[in-house]
Amino acid sequence: MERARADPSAFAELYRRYLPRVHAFAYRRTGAVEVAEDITSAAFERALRNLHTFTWQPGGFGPWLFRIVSNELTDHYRRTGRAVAPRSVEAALGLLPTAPRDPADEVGARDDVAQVLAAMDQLTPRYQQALSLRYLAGLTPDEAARAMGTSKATMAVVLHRATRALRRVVAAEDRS
Amino acid sequence: MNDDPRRQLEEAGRRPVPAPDPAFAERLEARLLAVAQTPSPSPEPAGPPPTRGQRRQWLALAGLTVAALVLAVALASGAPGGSPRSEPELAAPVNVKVALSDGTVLEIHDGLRLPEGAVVTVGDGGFARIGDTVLRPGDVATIEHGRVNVEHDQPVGAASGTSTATPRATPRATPKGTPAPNRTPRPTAEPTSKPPKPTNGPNRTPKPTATPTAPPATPAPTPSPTPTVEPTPSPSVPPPHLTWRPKLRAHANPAGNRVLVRWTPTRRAASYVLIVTRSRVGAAADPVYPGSRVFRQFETAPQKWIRFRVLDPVVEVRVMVVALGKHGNEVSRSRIAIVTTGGDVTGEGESPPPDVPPDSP
Repeated sequence: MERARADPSAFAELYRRYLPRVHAFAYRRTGAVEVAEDITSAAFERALRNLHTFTWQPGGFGPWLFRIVSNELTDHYRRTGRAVAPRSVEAALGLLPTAPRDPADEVGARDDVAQVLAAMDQLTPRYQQALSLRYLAGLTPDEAARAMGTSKATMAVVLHRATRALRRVVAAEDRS
Repeated sequence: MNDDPRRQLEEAGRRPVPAPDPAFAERLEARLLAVAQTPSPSPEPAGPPPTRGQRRQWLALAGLTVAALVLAVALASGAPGGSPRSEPELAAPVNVKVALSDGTVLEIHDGLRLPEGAVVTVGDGGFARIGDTVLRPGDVATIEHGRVNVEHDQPVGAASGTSTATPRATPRATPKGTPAPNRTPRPTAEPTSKPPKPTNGPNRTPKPTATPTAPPATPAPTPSPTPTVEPTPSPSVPPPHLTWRPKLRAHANPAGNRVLVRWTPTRRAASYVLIVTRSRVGAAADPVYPGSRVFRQFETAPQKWIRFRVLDPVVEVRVMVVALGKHGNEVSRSRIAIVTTGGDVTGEGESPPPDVPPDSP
C-alpha cells in the first residue's frame, strides 16, 4: 500500500488483484456488464485519486476499496433513480446456472433471485450497501463491517434489519 | 418465494459471473496509469464518505458556522432580526433632499446617517442608495424603526407602489412629501382641481410629517360631509357574553313530556344547529351531525327556552348544539346534554333557572 501511494506500478498490482472481485460485485449488483464496467472504472479511479487518504486498517485495502465500489453503486442507483428496472431483472436471470436440474426449479429459482435483487433497490442505501457488501461482494462479516465503517456488532444489527426489510418488500410484492 | 431472501442473496453471491473483459481490463489499467502520472492539482475529498459520527460532527460545525455568519451579517446590516435601531446611511446622493420629521433639512453628503423619521426625496435625475435600497428619481424614502420604507413615484392613475427594504404587513397610509397619486380611487368623490388640504377627519389622523421640500399631500379627497355617526350602544342592553363553545342547558318539564333547551351565543358562529336524539329503550346513541336528526337551524342563540314535545315511550333525549360559521363550517359544538324524560330530570346541562317558566316558547 505504501508503495502504491508513490509508485503507480504498485497500484497496478492492487488493481490486478482486486479487479475480478470488484467487477463481479458490480455485475452481481447491477446485472449488466456495461454498467458493471462503468462502476469498476469509476471505483478504481476514485480509489487511485484518494489513495493518500487511506489509512491502514486491520482489514487492509479490500474493505476500503469495496466501500468505494459500494458508494459508486449507490450513486449509480441514485442517478438512474430506478426502483425496479426490468433490464436488471432480466440480467439477473443470467446469474443462474445454465444447466439446471429441473426446468421447473430453474424458473422458480431464477425468479426468486431476480425478485430479491430487484427488491433490494427499494431499500435504503444503507441497507443496500450492507446486504450487497456482505452477500454480493463476498466479504466476511468483519470485512463488511470495516467497509461500512461500523463495528461488527452494528453491522450485524444493520444486516438483520436490512434482511427484515427485504423480506417485507418481497412479501409485499408476492401479495401484489 | 419459498426461500428466505437472505439465502437467495447468498446464492446470488456464490453464482459464477463472467470475468471482466481483458480488453476492458487493459484499457482501464492504462487509464489508471495515466491518471497516476498526471499530477492532480487538488486532491479530491476522501473516497469513502466519512462515517456517520464524523458526518454529524461536520454538519453540526457547518450549521454553527452558518448561524454565526447569519447573525453577524444581520447585526452588521441592520436586517430584521439584527439591530433595527442602527441608523442607515445615505450613499452616493445626487439631487437628494433629506428632511427630518421636525422639518429640518439636512446637508447632504455621502455617508450621511439617516435618523429615525428622516424623509429622503430624490429629485429629477437624482439617485441615492440607502444600504441595499436604490432610490430613483421621484422616490421618497422614510426611515422607520431603522428600516427604509420607499414609495416609488408613478404616473397618476397607476397603482401606487410601495416597496420597503424590509417586508411590511400593510402599506403606509401616511402622506409623503411628494404629490402622491390617488391611493384609493373613490367613485363618489368629485375631482379636486385645487391642491387638497390636509384634512384631519375624525377617523383619519395622518401623521403630521412636515416635509418642506414638497407641497403637502393628502391621503385622500375630503370625504363626504356627512359625518360618520357611530351607533352608540345602548347602555341598557349589555353585549352578549360570547363563549368559545355553546354552553348548552337542557331539562325536562316537571310533567316529563317536554324538553327545554337553550344555549349561549358563541364566537364566530353564524348559525346553530340543534341536534336531538330520542330513545325509547335505554340510552340513545350519540347525536349524529349532520343527519336526519337535526331538530332545527337557528340564526342566533335563543333568548328564550326552546321546547319540544316528547312522546310517552321516549325515556331519554340527548341534545347537542353545533355552531356553524359563515360558510356552514363547524366552529364548535356543545357538550351532549342527556335529559331523562318522564319527570326524572338529569343531564349534563345546567338546571333551569327558577325564573324561567318551563312552558315558555
